[in-house]
Amino acid sequence: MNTVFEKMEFCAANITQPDEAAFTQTLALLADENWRVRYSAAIALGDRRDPRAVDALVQALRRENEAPLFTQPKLEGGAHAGSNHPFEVIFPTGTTEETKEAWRCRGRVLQAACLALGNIGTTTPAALELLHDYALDQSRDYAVRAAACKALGQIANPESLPVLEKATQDEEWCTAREAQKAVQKIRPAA
Amino acid sequence: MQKPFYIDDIEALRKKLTDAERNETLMGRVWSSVRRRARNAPHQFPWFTPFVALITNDPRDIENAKNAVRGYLATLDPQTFGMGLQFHFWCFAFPHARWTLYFQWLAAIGAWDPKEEQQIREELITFQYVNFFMGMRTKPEPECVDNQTMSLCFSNALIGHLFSKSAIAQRMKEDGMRRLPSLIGGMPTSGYSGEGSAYMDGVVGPSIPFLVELLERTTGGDWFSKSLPPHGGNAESVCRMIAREWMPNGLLLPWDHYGYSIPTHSCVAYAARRMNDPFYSELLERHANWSAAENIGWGYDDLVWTLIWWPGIAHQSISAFTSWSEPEIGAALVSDDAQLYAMQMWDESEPLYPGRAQVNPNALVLSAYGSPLTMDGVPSQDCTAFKFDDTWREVGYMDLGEKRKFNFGSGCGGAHSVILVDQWEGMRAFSKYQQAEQLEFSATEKTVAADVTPIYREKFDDMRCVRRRTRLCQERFWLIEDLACFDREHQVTARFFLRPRQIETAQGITIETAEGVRLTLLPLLGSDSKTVTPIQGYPDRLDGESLQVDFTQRGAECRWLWLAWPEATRKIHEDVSEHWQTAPDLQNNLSFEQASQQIATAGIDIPLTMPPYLQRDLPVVRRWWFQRTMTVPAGGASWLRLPKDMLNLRFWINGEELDISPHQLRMKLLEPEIALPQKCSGKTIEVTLCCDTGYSQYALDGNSSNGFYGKSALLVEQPVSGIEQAEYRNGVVTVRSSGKQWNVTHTLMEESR
Repeated sequence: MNTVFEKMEFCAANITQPDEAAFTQTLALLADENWRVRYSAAIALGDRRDPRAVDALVQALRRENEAPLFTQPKLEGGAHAGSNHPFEVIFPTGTTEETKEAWRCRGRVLQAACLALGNIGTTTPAALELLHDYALDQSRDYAVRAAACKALGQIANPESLPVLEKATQDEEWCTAREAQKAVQKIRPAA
Repeated sequence: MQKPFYIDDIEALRKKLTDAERNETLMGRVWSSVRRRARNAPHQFPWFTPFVALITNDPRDIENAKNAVRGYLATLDPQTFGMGLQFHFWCFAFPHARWTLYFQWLAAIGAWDPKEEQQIREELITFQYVNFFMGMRTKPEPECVDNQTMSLCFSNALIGHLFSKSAIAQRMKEDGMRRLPSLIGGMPTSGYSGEGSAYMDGVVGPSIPFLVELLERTTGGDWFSKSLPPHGGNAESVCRMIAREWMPNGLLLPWDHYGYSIPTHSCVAYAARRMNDPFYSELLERHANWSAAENIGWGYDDLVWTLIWWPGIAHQSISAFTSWSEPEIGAALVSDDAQLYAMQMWDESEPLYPGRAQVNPNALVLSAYGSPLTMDGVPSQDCTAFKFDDTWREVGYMDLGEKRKFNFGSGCGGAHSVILVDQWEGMRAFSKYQQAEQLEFSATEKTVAADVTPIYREKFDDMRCVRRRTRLCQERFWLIEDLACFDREHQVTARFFLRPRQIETAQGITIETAEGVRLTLLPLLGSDSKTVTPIQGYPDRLDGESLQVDFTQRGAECRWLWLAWPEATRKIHEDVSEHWQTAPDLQNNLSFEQASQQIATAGIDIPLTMPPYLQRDLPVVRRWWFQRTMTVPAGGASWLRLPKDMLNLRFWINGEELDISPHQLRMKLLEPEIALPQKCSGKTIEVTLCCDTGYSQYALDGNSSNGFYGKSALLVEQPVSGIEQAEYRNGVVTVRSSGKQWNVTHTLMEESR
């Protein structure tokens, strides 16, 4: 397991096996230096639904929160969807490779980790706090806000209701819809 | 060895195309034109290259196709830095699926060396997983049924299936495949997704064959005709609706968002393959624009999939355009000769912020003698209309760190040919409910009526009914009846968006389109008090402007009965499509004299129907010159009709250039009819044309891959007399024109059914 692709494949291939070593190794890959591997590990841990992964996912989310900020680089030369014509990306002066990787990643690991927490279903105060933050944080991509709302619905903790009710007013449809579904799920139990 | 996916029998497909080409059938000509572009200009037509390589197995074509795939791969990393991929990921998912499929086709014919094949496979899978698996999981399941979710789910299902040895691919397949049936079943039973005809035709329709064939190949059974949960939608209904959106004037219905456009082919070809109904083949064989290679699902391979699905079975010509109705959304009334067309729509609009599913309760689309008469669509960026006070919105989720403020008024009632109450132009729904109900439809009587009261009653609580009935009478004219009833008095406006230009009339309003078709809208009952306001920039296409005509009355019961009377003021004198002399302008810099010289010495005889390189092995270049002589009939005015979409056209008669700039925007969609100077009457003239063509799928100068299309003809005046007399009395409408009289019994609509 040397390449990024092999690590990603490992996560997807082994996570549903009752193999404890595979679980441990996937937890370790959640801290891999490459975000694609971290993303794959988070998806895999969500599929495994093992509550022991919750703390590792919380730590992963906190690490992702530290990713460097980025600004929109300039694209020149017709970057059409599906095009095979070359075009140029002009980065702001001083843009590091780390920043470029953060841009490539954006909310992907966050989304995967939020959805994983939702799939696992059991939670901790720290996980809940992070999910509440993401659900309403307009500086995050809507893929992250929607995932946080969905996860909160799966976890179905009544403490989430005020946050989710606010999120039902999100201007982005997927987020608002996941929040509505979550509220409907929690409210009868609240 | 793997088969090229979706191609069951490659030898049979090769034979179908080779036979078609040898027999010079329409399909054969389309195939030739695709192969020529892929071979002679692979960088300009990359989307054709994998298919051509697959069919020809020619090493040159295979290398072109491999380079096209490599070129696509080279864009993947740069794309990640764009707002497009980050926030509109569905637009990238569908093309990614097809480039991946084309990679698999090339792998199936052994085009790659193993090392490169593995490297590309891993790159394609990884890009899909981190971008579009993520995107798919953003879309709420199962209720999110639209073109975006279709694109995302399909791409995961397909790529997952193609590379099923990969665990990641398997993971994507699992979620993608699970959602595909509900994307078909989540469509309304009408087959209309509510996203407008442009998205229906460009994404939803072309997706259907991919979804159905993938489901049938992986799970077996019939996924085309069976109705699926949750709404009972089925693929067959979608295909039927796609075909019904074709109008006899060669355009798509301007339904909901975007307005008039050119239809794509592949979904209709697939319907022709799956259904034993000559209707679909008839559309392809006799009504399609084969110079158009429109974008489907954010890629330019419509013709590829058309050639794959198209059965090419000969059949007797039938009437392609007939009246139809879908009770949930609308109905069309078509004359037997397809010259008169009316569509009345009442599809549900999107509450609160109407975007693609617009507020058009009982809006009308009229077309006569090949000329659209009514307008709908989107305003141009410069257009100042429809910015109503109550329709502003600010959103921040589609850009990074920036808010976008816009006005969605053009999606509201005030931008459509509907009834308005108390001048509320920002009319829209605020919550979800059934907004309309069809009251009657008869394909034989050619009549339709619908009640749209609920969407008005939400705002006006004393509203008792709002209804419109449209009739096509005696294959000659329309009657349109409006009824609005309240408990209290209100001001009621019957708004119509008509094409320019207005002609003076004593009553009602008369327009004459650039194609010389007149429409008179005359109230036989109801107020003739009206205002006519030119709206510059609405829509952004066709004439680039429209006439907003508001008839108003005040009362608790407001009724109009309109006579809509169309007339064609021109007729074809002679078809002059054949025997044009043409020459390519290789550097785009020839003068008139140089081009004339080149034509004189090395002109090529060709019909002026589509770009020369689509017809023969000629260079795929942007600019072409054409020349021929013709004799203009003596007496009266005459026009030269040319093919549509001749880009940047210039026009000379006997060496003298005419200004044809007023036609430039409109001729993207309609064949221009250029008035010939009176001095040409009865003379033989030399006409010279210079135009650009759609020479590339990604031309940096904005030219698309669509070539010009149509026939050229000399037209002359056809005298018309307009409405000499019209009235509604004792339940009968009487119309006199050109010495003829029409009598039609008409019972007025009542408030109760």
